[in-house]
Amino acid sequence: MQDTEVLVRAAQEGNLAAFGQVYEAYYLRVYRYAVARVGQGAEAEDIAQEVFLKALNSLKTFKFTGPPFAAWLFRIAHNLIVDRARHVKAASAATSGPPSSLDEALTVAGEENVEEQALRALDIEAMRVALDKVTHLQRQVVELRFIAGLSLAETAIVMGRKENAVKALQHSALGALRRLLAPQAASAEVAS
Amino acid sequence: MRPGDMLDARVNEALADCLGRLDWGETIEECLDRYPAIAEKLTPLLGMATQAQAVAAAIVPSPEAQRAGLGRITDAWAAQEARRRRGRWGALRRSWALAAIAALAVVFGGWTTAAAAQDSVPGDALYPVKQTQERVMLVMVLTRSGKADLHVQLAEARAMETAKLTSRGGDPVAVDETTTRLNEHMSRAVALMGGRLSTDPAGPSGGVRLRGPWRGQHGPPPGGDFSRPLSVEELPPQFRPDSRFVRPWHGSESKQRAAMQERFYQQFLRFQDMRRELSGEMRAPHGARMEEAITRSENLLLEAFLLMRELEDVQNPPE
Repeated sequence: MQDTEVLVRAAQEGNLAAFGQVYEAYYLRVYRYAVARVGQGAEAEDIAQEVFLKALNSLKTFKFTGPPFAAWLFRIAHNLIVDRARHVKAASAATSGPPSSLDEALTVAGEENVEEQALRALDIEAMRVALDKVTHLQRQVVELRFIAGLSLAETAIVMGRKENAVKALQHSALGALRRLLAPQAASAEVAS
Repeated sequence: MRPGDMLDARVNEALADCLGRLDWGETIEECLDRYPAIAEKLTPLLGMATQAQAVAAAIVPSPEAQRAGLGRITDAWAAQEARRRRGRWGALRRSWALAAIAALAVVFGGWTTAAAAQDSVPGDALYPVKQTQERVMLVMVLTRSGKADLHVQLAEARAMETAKLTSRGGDPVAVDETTTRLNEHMSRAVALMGGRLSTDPAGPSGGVRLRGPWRGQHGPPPGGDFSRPLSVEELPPQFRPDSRFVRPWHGSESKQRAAMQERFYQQFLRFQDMRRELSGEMRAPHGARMEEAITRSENLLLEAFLLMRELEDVQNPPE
């Protein structure tokens, strides 16, 4: 896979194949982020596709002197999901709590046996429940940093915060998840 | 700053540093060695981060959705290009060939890659480029007849790929998918000409069956078995462009149909070659499955031709 900058520049100059490679390089991460945010497979797939269509439409406005491409792309994803959530909220005020069926759209990867798949599904369910209980910002940092795999700097740009703030957030988010997912171990650490 | 805050700040920094190092392949233990004083605090946090990443790794999109997304992008791109070009050239009419060439030249800047991709087969690194080119071409061609012709050419390309995959002793799943796409192109070509191929899933030869003229006018197919491979000699005489039974094509679609007949026939000969290859020493693993796929394609090809002939008879009845 070529360097993202080379590919994006080629795409800006009219090379569709280059944009196709950018798509291949980032689709998985965008999709994972969408799943973490909206859950259901079809909607997450649609969001992932929409993100790239929007990126394509705005590609010429992207500047290499500004935020990195990944941050730019995930900013699009973030805004798109927020816009959709607003529409959904307007259409149905009955929903409560963040949409978070992380496991609904999951395909368990690899060639695991049934037992391993079941264990993985339990992990996923546990993570889903835990993410529902942390703060909005903690959840966001986990989704961007660990689910979508953005760097610290990229995460900071997408969240509109300073890197130091994101460092503190990821610390508190991981601590909160730890307390939720392994409460006994966490309380033993505190006691010691 | 209180001592607790200072400790938190140190952990924040060390955690960020270790997470970065883990991304570059360092192990948790190696990173903890860098921060022995706070290793106890870092360990559970890094473990949690690893667990979250493992959950992410289990989220896998369907390949179909990913391909569909690429298709939407290609369509959007081609539409942009078409709008831009229409704006520049006004009402200048272009043939499908010109449009296709323009699409390749303008949209794909890199001729070398585009040309190299033409020889690729499913599984090759350049194959996605080839697929993208084809989608662009389909969008750029504006007329129904042009699209039909292009679909036939794309079916031909799929057949060539099937042949290559077969000669490589190829992956039977890839061969199966390729022949399925061949059939789809053929169906679309016929549909664009105003016809419809039968796709009864309960029918013989795995969802594709012969019908119409073959059954009604020529009796059952050779041996009465719709899924049986056909030989050149067994083809209905009008299928062969060199046959004395050929009735010329008439009307505005005549050239198009004559060209398609030629292509159908050439394609049929290629299928014969592929079949010979399968039955020879180069017989690939899972050859039976490949042979079945070829047979399905042959039957569909024949049906497409017969339907085209039917349409001709309706539109330009013989005197």
